[in-house]
Amino acid sequence: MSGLKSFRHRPLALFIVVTVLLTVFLAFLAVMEQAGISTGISGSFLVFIVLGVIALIGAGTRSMTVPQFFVADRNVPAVYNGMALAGDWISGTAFLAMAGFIYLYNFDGLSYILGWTGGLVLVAVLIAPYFRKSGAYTLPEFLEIRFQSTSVGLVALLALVVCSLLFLVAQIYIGGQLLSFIVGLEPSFALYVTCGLALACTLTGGMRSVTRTQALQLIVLFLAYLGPVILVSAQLYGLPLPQVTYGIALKEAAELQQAVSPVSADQAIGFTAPFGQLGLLNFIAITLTVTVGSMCLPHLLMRFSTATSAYSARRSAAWALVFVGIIAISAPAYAAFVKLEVFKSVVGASFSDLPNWLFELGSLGLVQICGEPALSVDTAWGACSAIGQDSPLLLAQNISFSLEAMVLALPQIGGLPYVLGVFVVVGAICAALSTASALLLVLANAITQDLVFSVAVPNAATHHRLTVARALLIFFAFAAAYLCLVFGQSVMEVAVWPLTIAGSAFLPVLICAIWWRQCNKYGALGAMIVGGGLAGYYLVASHMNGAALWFGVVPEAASIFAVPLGFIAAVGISLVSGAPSSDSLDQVDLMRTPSGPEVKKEQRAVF
Amino acid sequence: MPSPNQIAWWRRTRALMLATLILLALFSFGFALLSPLLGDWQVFNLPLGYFMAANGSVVVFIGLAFWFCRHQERTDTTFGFKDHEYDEKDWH
Repeated sequence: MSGLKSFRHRPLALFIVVTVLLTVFLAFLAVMEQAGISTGISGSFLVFIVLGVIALIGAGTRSMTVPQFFVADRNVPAVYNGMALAGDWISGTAFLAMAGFIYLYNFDGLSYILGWTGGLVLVAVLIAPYFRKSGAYTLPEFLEIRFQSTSVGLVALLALVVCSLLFLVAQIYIGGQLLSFIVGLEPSFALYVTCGLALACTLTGGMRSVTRTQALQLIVLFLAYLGPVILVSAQLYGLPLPQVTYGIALKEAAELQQAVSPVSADQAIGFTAPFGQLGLLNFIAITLTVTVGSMCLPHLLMRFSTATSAYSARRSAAWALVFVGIIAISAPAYAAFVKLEVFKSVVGASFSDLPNWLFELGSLGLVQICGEPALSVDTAWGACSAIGQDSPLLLAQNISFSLEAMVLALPQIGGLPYVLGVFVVVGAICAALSTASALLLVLANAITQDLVFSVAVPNAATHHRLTVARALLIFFAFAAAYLCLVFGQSVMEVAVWPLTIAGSAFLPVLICAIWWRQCNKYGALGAMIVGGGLAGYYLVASHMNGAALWFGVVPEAASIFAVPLGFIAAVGISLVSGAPSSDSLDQVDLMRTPSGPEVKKEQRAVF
Repeated sequence: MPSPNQIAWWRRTRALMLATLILLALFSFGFALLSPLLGDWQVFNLPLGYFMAANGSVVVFIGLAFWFCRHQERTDTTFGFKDHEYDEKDWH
């Protein structure tokens, strides 16, 4: 671990060293594959080495004091913190589904990219430095300090638990599914292994070990995301810059689509034409929801509390954007290359000529032909004849891909070595784990700090705080695994709800807390209840009861209604209920000023 | 109550915040919403509107984030709220 310590101040050197080591390791495995080693063995070897090393580094980092465990002693340099933040920001869901979203919705799918990256700029401008200066460990504590009100903290804690737990369950589910797919573990056992790996990164070292493992996981997932798409781009067009070449792929795909199923001229530009599928209003609504949601997710805000200063918190966000942005601009290339291949060898092909990767994804439930998972030529043919589609050629409307299919399919489509396909899965597992460990930590920290030791036992000793936090980590890890087992696939249906709920509940209150002195605790309570409640209602009503959509806005984009209403509630209630206490105003002034000590009173963190 | 110096610093900070927000809105929504009008321009075989939404805007965001950091740090230093001596020492 001392080796890692010397990398603290040279994170870019760490990046290069890990990149070189991984490349050599992958090349070695690829050579072994050529030499006839079974792909199952080399694949499992890769998974065990990468995940094992990260888990060992996590478990080998110890935290003995409250600031170490909760905020990594607040001495993480900006670039390093930015890397960890990026690892946190890129969840397993985003890693897998972003390319699929663009594949399905073409131009309209780009709304996710815009929101996901724009949110990082906004958080640097609007929230991060002030959050850091407040000295709070978690979001509820921040609001509690600002408004000098326990009830504000408790309502925020409730919203935090709802969205973090939903998000955690989705990450654990993704990790478990991929792990069982790649190593052949039994699915329920793989879920517990995933929880174990996430606990290894959090239990002994808290925020200190999460910082290290997230930075490492970021490097792995970054290479895993970029490697295949760069190689495929080089293979197809001789230029290893997918961001430049995918335009050609989209053009070719459009021509092939014309040849297979001729459509009128105005539909022919479909892949790049704006607002054709979700519409202008939904484009705006999704961009807005993803922007405010990623700004306010509590486990992401928690990363700013480890920065050395307000200055460093801003810089962390900017550095994280470098990594997040490079991933984001590569996602459309994934979508384009898969699209080209689909129109080349799937759509309009006869059933017996369907490529093998289709059925491998089908066995994961990611590809459906005629409404049934595509397991083999026979099942596909059987499903299509059962519904009366007896054309010998596969038609475009009979095949549907899950959002996760694109990223997993590309290595096989490009004919890359098997280990690279495994590496992409390892990258996705790392993305899920880095987010899951942050979520575990934010749940445990927030409940320890804001419920147990702020309300119940204010002056507890260090070892009690750490014991409670660790017990909560274990509790939430098992709770998440249990929920995955009970609800199965349906946990993925709510995987983006946390984004909607967090943005709706927290954005108005966070912005008013920092940028409007006159906001008082009643306004804060009203904003959280109105915003979070409306988003929750819209999501649940349209999902469970099939209630009508307002103006046709998709349920997941509810923030477009909830955020303005939250602001109205915050402003209206604050104006009606009188000026905030002078104590609360002092907190705002201290929080805004970048220099000087933290706002939080020192006795809250007993050493 | 905040000191006059603090109030002046806050005014400058708020102006910078608004400037960054306007630039951000221009490049996230602006280009995307105008893209039906930009149809004929091509970059890397893509219509300009698509290219900006998929790649261009993100690159601008990265630049914008660092531009914002630099300006905010300059403002902090001018008004005597510089807080990053530690980080600078830490880095070099």
